Amino acid sequence: MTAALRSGTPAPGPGEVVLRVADLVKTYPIRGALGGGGRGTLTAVDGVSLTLRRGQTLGLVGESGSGKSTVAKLLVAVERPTAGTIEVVGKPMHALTGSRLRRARRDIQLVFQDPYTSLDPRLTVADLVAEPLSIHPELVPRRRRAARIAELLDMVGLASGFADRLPHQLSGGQRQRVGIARALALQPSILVLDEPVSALDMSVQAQIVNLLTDLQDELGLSYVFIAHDLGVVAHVSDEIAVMYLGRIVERGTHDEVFGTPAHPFTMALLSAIPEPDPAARPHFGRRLLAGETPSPIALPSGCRFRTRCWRATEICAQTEPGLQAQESSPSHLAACHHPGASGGADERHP
Amino acid sequence: MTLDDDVVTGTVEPRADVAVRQADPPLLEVAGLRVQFRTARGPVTVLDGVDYQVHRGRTLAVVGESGSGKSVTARAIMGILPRTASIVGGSIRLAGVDLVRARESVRRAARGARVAMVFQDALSALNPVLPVGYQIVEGCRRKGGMSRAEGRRRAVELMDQVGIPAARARVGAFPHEFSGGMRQRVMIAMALARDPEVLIADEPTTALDVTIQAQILRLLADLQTQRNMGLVMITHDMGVVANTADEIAVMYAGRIVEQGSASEVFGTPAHPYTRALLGSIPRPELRGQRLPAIAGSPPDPSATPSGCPFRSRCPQAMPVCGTRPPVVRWRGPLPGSIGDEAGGLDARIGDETSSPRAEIGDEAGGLASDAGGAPGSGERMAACHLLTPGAQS
Repeated sequence: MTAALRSGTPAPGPGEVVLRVADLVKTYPIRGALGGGGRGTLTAVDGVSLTLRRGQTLGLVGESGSGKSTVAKLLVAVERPTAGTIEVVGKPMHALTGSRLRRARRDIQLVFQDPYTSLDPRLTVADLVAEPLSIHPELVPRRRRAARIAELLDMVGLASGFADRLPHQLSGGQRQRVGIARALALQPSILVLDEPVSALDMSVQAQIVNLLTDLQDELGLSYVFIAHDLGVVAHVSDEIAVMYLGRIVERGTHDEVFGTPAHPFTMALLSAIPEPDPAARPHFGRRLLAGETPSPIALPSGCRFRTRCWRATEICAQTEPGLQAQESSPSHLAACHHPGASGGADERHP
Repeated sequence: MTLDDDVVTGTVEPRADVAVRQADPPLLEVAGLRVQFRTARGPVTVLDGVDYQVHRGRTLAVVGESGSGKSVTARAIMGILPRTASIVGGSIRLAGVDLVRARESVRRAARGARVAMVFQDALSALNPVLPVGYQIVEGCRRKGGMSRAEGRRRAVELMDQVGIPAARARVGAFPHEFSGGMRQRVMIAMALARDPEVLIADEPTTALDVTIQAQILRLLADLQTQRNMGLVMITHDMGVVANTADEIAVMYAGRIVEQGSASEVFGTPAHPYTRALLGSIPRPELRGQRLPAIAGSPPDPSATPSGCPFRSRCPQAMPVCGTRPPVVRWRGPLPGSIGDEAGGLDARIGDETSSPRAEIGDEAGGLASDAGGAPGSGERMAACHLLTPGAQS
């Protein structure tokens, strides 16, 4: 099964960069009430750069409005960037159109958050998995399709008896397996997983996480794993990128970001995650952030996090900090004028 | 994570655990509650004998997955079950009144100011065409004959208490003018308007970002302490449970399968479902490994297996699990063959290959089977054959 999957596109070598995103920008025009009249722009993604290596997982975390789902749509070319470049296995996705874009898309596929609304309720499981194969008929000859569908269902742990079922006859976990089988049908190098377990029952989440890690090992897949649940992200990710209001505010390896968070937002995010351990309760919300994320159409001057940051000083209102390597490691980047561990015991929120 | 603990931003110290007050009679007591839904294919039992108690100043976390019955229980207490549902057994006692049997007028009076509920989705729970201030005090004005000016004053006061900035200026604003977190605060203000003794919060933070979730959880804890309320926190998030609960009730397929203090249930989970669930949550030590997952999915309420509802997914299921599991109550160490394993618990959680243990624990003391009423403080409860000595013989 593994060999068959890999036979389509020549697999990139191990450790090779399969996804390279540089200075990605996406703006949307803002319309007035009832769609009339332009009223400026909303910058949903504002200069995002990422790299992903073969067989690795990049965790993309952030809150609602941080732009992480827009990044996902840009990566799979559902949305097209306003500026910046996206290279998928060496191909410039951002510049492709027509049949070339269609072909390039095979390499990067999206798995949706909600398997309840992302599957056509009138199609059987076999039809759902066959759909990408009929959109890209060059990939698997017609006479081989049935065998290919059976193979895909087997890969995601669905017995052949599921082929004729309709989505409403499936549990949430089974539906998400169908979603993954659809994404795998085109033998992609990269899966963009947008909150792939958040909509599932908690006793089912671990099954899907395990399935994803197994598939990654077997097929050498690379993942962009988008989530707000840092527990799951921490489990699967080799590298982490933290987004806030359209920008990456911190990036680094798993150990760098979780072990020695440099950006105050990352610290606050980590402290806001309730741990499933009553003994950890005293640490919960230690850095409870005041206020809420500002509107993306009325960004603060300078650093966009400063209105909620306890370290903010004059310079933060004047200059927007760029991503800088931390002293401890050149791969650990943070966009902050006052990064790193405590600035002193008297540090307080303004 | 190396967060320096001396840096505190806009927080209050974690609430000291309220001392257990055994003498306090419960504010709310649910006993043997059974609820059925009428469906085209006949009645479906969605609650099959639920017992719990809510005490003053304490938080009970009701944790379970979709379909476990955690929200149906809350709706039965509030008297807002859908028309297709009916209570077919058990009792709900609030202020000396059995809400199941009393006349509607008596029920309304008993519920009145004593119990209020916060819903998950504030956007759909609020009326979009009425100002929030009006909605917050609607109940008081109807019941208390409050004047318009008094109502407005009270609404501003409540909005202040739940931390809505510029309350005076925003009392006339509409729900869509508030963010998700602020709308949830409006919902909380509305629930507090008549000073309830018991507050039921149904997934109050599920739709919110984590930094906002942390704010709302802190707010609920602070309000509970200030007002000495009983709080029922309904959630599917074990993290939320661990950080808010005094007691935990774990629900599965319409039953409470385990109940006890938060520290004991997390420390020594007794029911195989609780153990598997806690074991399947990603932890730093499990990084790079497969998670100990639970096989299968929660049962459809219309096709719940006979006997123990978890047996089709349970790594330790035995033939006897086809009969209804006994409700076992105890204090101290885990009874039965689960207790024997307690030492090597972590290794065994969710291990699909592990076979049922042969030894039977002959636990001394504290083991009383199937007594009436929900467990009091210090007492634990679980419904599983493994907790009875001799179950496997």
